[in-house]
Amino acid sequence: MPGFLSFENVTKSFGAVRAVDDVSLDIARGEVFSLLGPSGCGKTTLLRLAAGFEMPDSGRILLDGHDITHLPPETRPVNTVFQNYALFPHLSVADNIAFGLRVAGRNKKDIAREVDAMLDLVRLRSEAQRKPAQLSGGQKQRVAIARALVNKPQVLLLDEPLAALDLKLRQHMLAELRAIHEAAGITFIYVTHDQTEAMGLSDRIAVMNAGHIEQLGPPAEIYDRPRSHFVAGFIGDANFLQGTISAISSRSGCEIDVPDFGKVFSAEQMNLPVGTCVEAIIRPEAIQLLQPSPDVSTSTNTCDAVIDDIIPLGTLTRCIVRMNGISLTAELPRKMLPAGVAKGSRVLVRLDSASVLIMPRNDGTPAAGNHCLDDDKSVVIP
Amino acid sequence: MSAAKNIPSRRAEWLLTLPSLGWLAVFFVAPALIVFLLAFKTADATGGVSAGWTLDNLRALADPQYRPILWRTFWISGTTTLICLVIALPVSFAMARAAPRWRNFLLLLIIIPFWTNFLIRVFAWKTLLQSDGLVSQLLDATRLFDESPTLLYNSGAVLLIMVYTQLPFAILPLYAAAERFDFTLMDAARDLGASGFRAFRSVFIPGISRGLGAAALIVFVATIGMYVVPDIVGGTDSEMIGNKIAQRAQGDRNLPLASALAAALLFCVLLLLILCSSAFRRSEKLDNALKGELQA
Repeated sequence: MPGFLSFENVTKSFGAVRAVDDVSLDIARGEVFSLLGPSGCGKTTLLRLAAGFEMPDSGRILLDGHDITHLPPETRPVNTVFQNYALFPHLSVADNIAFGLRVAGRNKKDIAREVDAMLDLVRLRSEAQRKPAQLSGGQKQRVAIARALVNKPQVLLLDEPLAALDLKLRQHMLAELRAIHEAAGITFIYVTHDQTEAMGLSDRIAVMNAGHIEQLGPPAEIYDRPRSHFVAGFIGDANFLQGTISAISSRSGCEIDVPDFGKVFSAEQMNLPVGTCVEAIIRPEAIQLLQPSPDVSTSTNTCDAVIDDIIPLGTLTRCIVRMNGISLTAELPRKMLPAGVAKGSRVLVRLDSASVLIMPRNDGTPAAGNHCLDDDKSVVIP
Repeated sequence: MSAAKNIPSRRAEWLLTLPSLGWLAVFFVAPALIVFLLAFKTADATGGVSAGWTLDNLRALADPQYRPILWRTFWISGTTTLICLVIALPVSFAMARAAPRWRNFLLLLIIIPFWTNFLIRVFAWKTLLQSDGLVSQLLDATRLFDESPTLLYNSGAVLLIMVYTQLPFAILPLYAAAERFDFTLMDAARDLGASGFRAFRSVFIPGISRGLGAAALIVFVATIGMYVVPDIVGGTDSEMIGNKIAQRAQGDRNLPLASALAAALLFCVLLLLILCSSAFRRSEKLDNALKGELQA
């Protein structure tokens, strides 16, 4: 896909810290693209590079085929919605929105008309003469969006725009952002550390960590098929089981041996030899809890366990289950809980083999007490 | 409940305020009153003040000799204020943008001149500017002038040294305001297409308007009563009202007339202060009223 906004091997350091480390990225025209990651992962720096507030140490940034790497922010056809809105406190809502048009030297009639159109779009017509200090958080947010959009940018950059709002308002504004994107039809780049915002809004998500992109893809793909321990842990909750591949079937998947649990079968096709140290990733909703019964207890993907804790979450109930040395977090609808289950109850844990993901353990995650690690040790210490 | 709680705290407030009120009363209100009252007395031959009251001193203020001096006092003070602000604005901007470890160092540089006595600094300028002084020699070396220009004893010299002495008093309140300024607003302005200068003018300056008002007031009030600078580096064409007051008090030994002049000056300054503070209060009240309306 040819990029509308492209980063080519962009690197930016602050002192000894590589905030953005050799990132290449193509963003399509008209899409909502999220940069998702924990604080300090480089997502905001990448956005500031696109806006022109920072200049990369190396690499290029292209917009619609034009090199904009070294253009100052005022000449780039992109606009930003800042994290704390950055509304001009001495100007009214209407004057804030008109700022970009006035700077561009547009005539008064055009400015009035376009500001009016924006006020209607963000439904702030009756607040037009208010100062930012007299607005609620959601209203400020809408002014910030209107002030950026009125300039008809080719790309709208949003820097954690909902971070300062409470949960209810955030959900409302998310729906509103979707509607505004629909109406404006321009490319959005959305920076957030909140996975639900990114999942609910984006066409594609780039999960960032330590200055580079860990994984890039549509929200469902990132959730269902995380390609690294970090992504699996950052997007949603995940259980990690350490094990070794014990058998491979070319058609149906592979079997791994997980100490303290037993055999775990994954439907995933892995191109790894028997004996490889791997990590099985299981989402909390892919775990079933059953009444213990002697006939299934030894089969693959099941294990006897004890309920350590039961936490009601509303629609779902979270259960912490312990088996020998490991514990797993399961989340399931209340109705799916075995009858009469309570703290200390014995249950049978079953993993859904289609939802067990396997990845080689090469990212240095600590795995204390795992026999794979012990094997490694026995090699190192003769 | 809140009223009962308020009574002791109000008493404590009064007790805590009393020392500063007392200080103001003894060192500011009382002398100002004495000056004001003296303006209605007559001078006796020995330089003292005679009994009885008169309006002659007030009438003397109408003397045409004071008019150009009053006018000059205002334009020198006004120009000094303006130049100080024009210099202090970019300086305070740069200081607030500097890395935190540099800021205190820069602040120290601004404050260092205060370690030397004001009079000594003015005399140092006189030495620099005198006809065979360092500045004259440098100007001669450039050969730009056939005859080295007179640098002292004129309004230019008064203005230069007034700006020099008052500049820190403009920088400090502006820096205090600039330090609290949210610089992401500058980013926002640039993002919306404003040049650096446009962002400075349309966002930074309005953002620190209170500091700007404070700086302007401090410098203007301090220079309007200035006596030392025009006395040392000024000439007869750069006298200010402060010099006239000194002449009446020391030369003519006419304390009542000097007092009348001083009272008139004090009155002008007070009027200015009242106008400024009521303008401040009005904008604040408007903000609060609108905020209240929102919450209601």
